[in-house]
This record gives sequence, structure tokens and C-alpha cells, in this order.
Amino acid sequence: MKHHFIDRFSYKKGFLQNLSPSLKFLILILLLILFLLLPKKILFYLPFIFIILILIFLSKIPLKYFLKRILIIFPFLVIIFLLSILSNKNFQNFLYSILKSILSISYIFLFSLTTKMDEFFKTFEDKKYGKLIFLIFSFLYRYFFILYDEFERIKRAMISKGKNPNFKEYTILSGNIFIRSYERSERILKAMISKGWKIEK
Amino acid sequence: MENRKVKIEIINLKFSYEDKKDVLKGINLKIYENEIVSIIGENGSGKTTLLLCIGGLLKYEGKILIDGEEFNENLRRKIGFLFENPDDSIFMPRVYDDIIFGPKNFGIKGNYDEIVKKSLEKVALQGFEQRVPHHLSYGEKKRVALASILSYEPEIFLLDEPTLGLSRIARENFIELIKKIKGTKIIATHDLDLANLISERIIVLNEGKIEDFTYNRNNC
Repeated sequence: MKHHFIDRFSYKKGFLQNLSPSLKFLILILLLILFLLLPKKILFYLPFIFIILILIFLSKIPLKYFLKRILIIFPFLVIIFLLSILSNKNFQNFLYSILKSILSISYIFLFSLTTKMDEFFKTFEDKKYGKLIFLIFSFLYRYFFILYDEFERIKRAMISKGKNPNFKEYTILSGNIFIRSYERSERILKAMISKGWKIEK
Repeated sequence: MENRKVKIEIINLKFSYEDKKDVLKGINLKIYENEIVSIIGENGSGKTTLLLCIGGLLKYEGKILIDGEEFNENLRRKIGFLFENPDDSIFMPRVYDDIIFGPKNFGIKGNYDEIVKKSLEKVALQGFEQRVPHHLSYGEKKRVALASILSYEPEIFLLDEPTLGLSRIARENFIELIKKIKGTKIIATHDLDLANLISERIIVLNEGKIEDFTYNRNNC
């Protein structure tokens, strides 16, 4: 199966794609800290909304695609903050919290769309303890798609035998994926050792 | 054959998994330098287990000598293992990283870009350096997996079901690649045509023992 949903836009020749991953990472961290500190006045948030729209345009990301992906997190934000409102009735505070969350997630998403993941992971490789972080994230990235494919195959097999998965079946599927992941990890470790990799103390 | 140097000597090799006893029940075998040997047998006969033992990836009873020396970590560089599932063999984010993984770990000095380029040329995948593995076809992944062991130039190749899952043309191309590799080759396979086509010797494994072997006169 092909999985273009993460890598696709990082190959385009846009503004953000041309910036180095470490610079983008630094800017992102600074932005996230800034969003936390922004006062509760809508005037402070408008420039950042304007900037992200410009960045989306300059980086050749389809706006519809971007908004569709961002909307996925909305239900989770709404649930969390509705639950929070029950304990604290300051509605204005929570509105600004939602706004900060949306801005933060939007910038994180935009930066990840325009960054080749392996180049991003490599920014850690040379740092102290970075090699381990690089390996962990590399594996996460590499094997996410493999596990997703396995999940889809098992699900398709279930459907072909007349069972549309619901909560109970998804639980079974998840357990299956966990076992397969463990077995796969054993095989991958053997492949790594066969190529001279040693477990460092 | 016996005029050639013994590359691998297996003496009374035994192995059991935790949940399965006596997968290998005392294997004795000599494999000669640059020999091509196919190991055939039913599912569960111990073919892959035998390769894993030779590759030093399982703890076994008995002895396995490589160039007269008992297996140790220094000998690992001499062995290239091609796993049955290429997704188990290629685990880095990009093809370049997978191919250079072995040479880096074995401390091979040199121009890594050149090493990667030459390895990809050997498997007819020029220009694939920056490709991501999850965008490759199954056949391409198999070839990248092969390139990832060719990059550190081992002397012994352990190939577990190398043609499994390949289309007719991809299979023919892959067989041609295997033929061109220089070194001692041990192939575990169900593909009897492959075994007949390229092997000098075909060993039949049954329930953990060598039941029979035959010399393939066409290839000796």
C-alpha cells in the first residue's frame, strides 16, 4: 500500500520546504511558548492566523486539505474543554485556550507537512543521546505504515468473512497488531544484529 | 568439490525453541568456498532455523566453524543474511540509510555515497537513494534488502526464500542478481526451479535432520 499522506508535500518546492528542519523546529518551539504567553485579546491572535494562511499559500499546501486535516482534532478539543467547563465556569478562559490549541496544532501540522521526516530525525543524530532518539523516531515513522497496512489487511479479512468491525472487533484487531508487532520486532532485531548493530550500554 | 576450501563446517548442530523441541537434531554439514547450496524441505523442517544458526542469530548446541573459526562477533561481517520478508530487513527511513547501515556498523571506511551508489547499481535500482521504503513495491524492497547486504561485501550469503512473492519477471531478474553475486551462497527455498537452476548441491531437510542431498550435475 502507498502512504502519501505524510510525505507528499515535503517534496514540493515551497517556502517552508526550503528551510532547514532544525530551524523550523526552533521556530516552532518559540511559537508554542509564545502562544502560551499571549494575553486574552483577540487582536494578538489575528496576526498569527494571517501568517499561517500566508505560509500555507507559499508552501503550496492546498487550503482545503489543510483545514480538513485540522478539523479532525476539533471533537477532541471540544470534549476536553466541555469537561473542563463543568468544573470551572470561566467561559472566556476556555475559548482562548481553544484558540491557542488550534493555533499550536495548526503550526505543528504545517511544519510536519513541509518537513521530510528523516531529515527532521537526523537533526537529533549528532546531539548527545541524539542517536537513540533518531533510532526511536525512525522506527516509529518507518513501522507506523507497516502496522497500518497489517491493520487494514486484518480488517479486510474480517469484512470478507461477513463481519463489519465494531468496538469488540477493533479490540481484537488491536491485540493482534500488538502481538504481530512484538514478533516483528524480534525479527528486525535479528536483521539489525546481522548487519553489525550492537546494543549499547 | 572436496578440493575446495571448507568455508562453513557444521558439527552436531542442535536447536530447540522454547515452545518447540528439537527443531534441529544434530546437523553435520560442510559447505565449500563459493559453493551454492539450496536447502529444501517442508514447512517447519528447520530451514530458516538452520540459516539463523549459521548467521549467529540463535544460541545453538554444537559447533559452527567459519573458515575454521568458531562463530564470534568478528566473523559477522563475513555473513550477509537476506530475510524472507524484506520489511524485516529494511528498517530505516530512507533507502540510503538502510544500505549504509551495515558498512557504518562494521566500521568500513570509504565514501559512503559511492558505496550506496554501487550497491544500488548491482541490484539495478540506480537513483533510489532518497526513496522511502514504504513507497516501494515488494520486488523493489527485496532488491533494496539485497543491496543492504551487498554494501559491506560479505563472503557468505544466507538467503531465506529469496524469490517468495515475486512475479515471474521479477523472480527471473532476482535470480540473475543472485547468480552474479560472488561468494558462498546458502539458499533456503520452496522454489525447486530455483534450486535446480543455480545450486551445485541440494540438501533435503526433514524434521530437523538432513535426509538427503544431491549434486546438481548441471551446475557443478
